Amino acid sequence: MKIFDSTLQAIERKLDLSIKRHAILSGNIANQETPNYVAREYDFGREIESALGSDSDTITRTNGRHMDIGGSSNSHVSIDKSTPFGADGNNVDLDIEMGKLSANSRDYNSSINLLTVKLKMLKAAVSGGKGGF
Amino acid sequence: MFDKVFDIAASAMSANRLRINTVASNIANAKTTKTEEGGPYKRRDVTFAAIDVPANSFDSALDEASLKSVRVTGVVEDQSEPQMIYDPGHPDADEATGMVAMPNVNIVSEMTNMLTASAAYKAAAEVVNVTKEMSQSVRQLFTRL
Repeated sequence: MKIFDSTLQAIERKLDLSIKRHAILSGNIANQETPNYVAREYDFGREIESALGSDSDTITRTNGRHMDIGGSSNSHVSIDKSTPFGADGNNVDLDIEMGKLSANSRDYNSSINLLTVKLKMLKAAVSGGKGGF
Repeated sequence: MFDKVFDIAASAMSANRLRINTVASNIANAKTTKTEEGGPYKRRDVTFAAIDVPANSFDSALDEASLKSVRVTGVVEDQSEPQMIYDPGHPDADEATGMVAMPNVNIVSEMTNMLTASAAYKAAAEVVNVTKEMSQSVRQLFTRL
């Protein structure tokens, strides 16, 4: 039996991605008035899918510092042209970005809660049921 | 990674603070007809540019290539024509025509500019708050166990 199972790895990956998306969204908000700045977005689903793909014969990146063999390592950041462009060539919609930022931070906090529960279970196991919950 | 977000938000706050300062200068000088360069005051505006966030390791060089903070690239003078107002009693009035060259400052557009800058500043401050909460929830993880 593995003590640190794939759930912990998945949570770790999810936290990592949430922080990166948070940074991307913050960059959009900072550049809401910059001429010719196009909003950026983080392709989340594909990353999580590839992180959770448990096929033993596929290569998974276990550490963020490893090179991503599967493709261009920067491919998950995309240019988002879904919102209308203003006269200055900028398409950042502050309200949409703030909404995304808040939803992303909520996602992050629920992942942290999940991690807390996992670690509490582990603590309960190693302390013979006395610790943890 | 969180420190990068604080840097980005701080860059936005600093850029918009400078923008509000410029607006204040424009409003203060809305009626200034004498300047050191001669002629009426010319309204000033800031220009923004997106710049790369410096990467500090190989990992971040890969992941943060498209992370941008904002920087003020310069304060430029608006070269549009001064407003000509008929006021023969004004010391700077043209003696022949009685016209005075007033600054090209439009109070309404300055106020709009100020509100936009203030909204951008508040948004950046909110980003700082959200980021702070996120980094605190990691720290609380250890106390909650």
